Amino acid sequence: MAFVCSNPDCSLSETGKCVDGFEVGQCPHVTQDEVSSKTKTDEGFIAPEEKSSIVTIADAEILSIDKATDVLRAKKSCVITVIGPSDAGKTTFALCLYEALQHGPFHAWSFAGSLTLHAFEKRSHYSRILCGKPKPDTLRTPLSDGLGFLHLEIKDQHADYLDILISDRSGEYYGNVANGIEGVDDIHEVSRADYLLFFIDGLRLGTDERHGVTSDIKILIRSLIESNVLRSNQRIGLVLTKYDQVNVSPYKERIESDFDKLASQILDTYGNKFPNIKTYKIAARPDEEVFQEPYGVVNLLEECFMANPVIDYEAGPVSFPDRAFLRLHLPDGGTR
Amino acid sequence: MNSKKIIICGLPSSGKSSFLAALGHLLTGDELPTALSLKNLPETRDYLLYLAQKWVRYTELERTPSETLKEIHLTLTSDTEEINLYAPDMSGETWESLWVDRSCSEKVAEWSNDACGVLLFVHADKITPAVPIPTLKNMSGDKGDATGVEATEWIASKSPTAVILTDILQALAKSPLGSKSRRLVVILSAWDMVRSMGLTPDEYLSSHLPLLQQYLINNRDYAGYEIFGVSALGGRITSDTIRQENIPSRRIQVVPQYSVDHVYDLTLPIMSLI
Repeated sequence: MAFVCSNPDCSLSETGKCVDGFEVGQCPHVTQDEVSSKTKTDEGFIAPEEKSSIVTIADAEILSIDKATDVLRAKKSCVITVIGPSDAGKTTFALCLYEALQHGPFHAWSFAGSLTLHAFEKRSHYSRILCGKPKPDTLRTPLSDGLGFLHLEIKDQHADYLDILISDRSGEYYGNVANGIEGVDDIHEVSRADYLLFFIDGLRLGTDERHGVTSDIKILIRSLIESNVLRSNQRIGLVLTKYDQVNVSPYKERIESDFDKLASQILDTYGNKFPNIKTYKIAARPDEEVFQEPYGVVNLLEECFMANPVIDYEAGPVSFPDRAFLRLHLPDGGTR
Repeated sequence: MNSKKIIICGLPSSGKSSFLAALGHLLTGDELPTALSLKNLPETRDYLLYLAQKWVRYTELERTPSETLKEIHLTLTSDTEEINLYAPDMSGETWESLWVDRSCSEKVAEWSNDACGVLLFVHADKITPAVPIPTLKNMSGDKGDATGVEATEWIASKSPTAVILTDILQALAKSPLGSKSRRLVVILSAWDMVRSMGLTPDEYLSSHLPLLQQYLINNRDYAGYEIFGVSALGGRITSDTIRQENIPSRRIQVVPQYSVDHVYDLTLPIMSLI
């Protein structure tokens, strides 16, 4: 028996879903249609129509921590965590490889699949002609979305597969962490990151906000280090974003000098504990008059996709007991 | 006798029913030799013959209504074996809804799970590409930033064709719709409309659906794939050229993956699947 809805905006009969969110049978607009269990076409052909229940598939939205963990367990993968203030270009960077792959293999990488195609498409919408805007933009990640991961499976020139998870979290959250409003307990993307990228907005570095920009990122890094969220072998990138606009800015030298100064301050302060800190300059979606294609992104992605270096195991000091009996468990029997 | 089910999928108006209509005529009309031939007329043949009769009379097919699943059963013979082939004609909305609503009916899922191969249809001349907004300053006419212009909301069904089809193929390769290691055939339908470009189906897919092509080459979901350019109607059904053809089956054009020349044997894509 079929259900028919009197609401013209409702496509219950086609999708099985009520536009007002009611369970089928509970909506006041729905009636049962006893006649339409068979469909008669113009030519008189009777098409059998069987009502059946609905089967759902994975939503293709951004991955929760649990789903991202499933990917990490199953395959060779790489977690890239992008941290920075709102509008620093975090999501634009996350979309950069996906957008490039839309037009064919990019550099050494080609597309092998994605679990988050809906999420990618929603975020890419404002950079496509279909949205009707004259200039490309990126969908902002709201604070309420929490932490999620965009997923891409790629194949490189050596025919090796790699699952990439790129974190996507509102810049506002990181501001709250720096200000102590948010604790670091929920900042799971940092401890698991294969590459941790701190984004510094090149455009804002060219404004009167320049000291605020550098100060904010220093406080954020210090907050994470003092909270012991970072591992000492973690690879860290300090990334100057929107480099196309920096490149044509009248303050280009000052911006680059501010960035270099920030980087050397961080290296001086934390370089001993975190020896793997590097700097990058990127333009993920450059003005085509400045750069024809994404600038600095290939270099950065190559570094991100590299396997973490294996750290030599350093054995702690072995005590050498004075009594021969206590030395029996030692591999050489305790002979000197 | 071997029994094989295949699943036929594709977005609305991608040529699924036209393919079945032409196949119906080719097999029942017995006008030309084919790699697979019909052993006997199927017991339940009303739908297949309905399509075939429309095809041979140059009559346009109506769109397959959503929510319907019309089953076709053919007993086919090749040089070596006899196969019971089951194929469904499902509406394009069924597959569009899989992308948009992330759901399908239990019947579709059941059929998909039992299928040994996937036949994916793409209308070669109705491809929505991913077109980025140029970032050139002069393209915006120096209107400043884009904040003053109202952007349209994202509509899932208007996503690039390659993205939608990749997502559907990924979904068909895992639970609850199926499993890995099935065969896959991609049909670029309405091939007559793009044939003048002089490309092979493989080259056409690479230039018009690059994301899908990368997925086909690199994925670990399917056991293998083949691409065919197919014109089931042979051209515009109103054109004199196809109406003057004395052997109707010769209207059919099937172009193998790396070729620009066509044959008429519409059973080749089926052979590749089973």
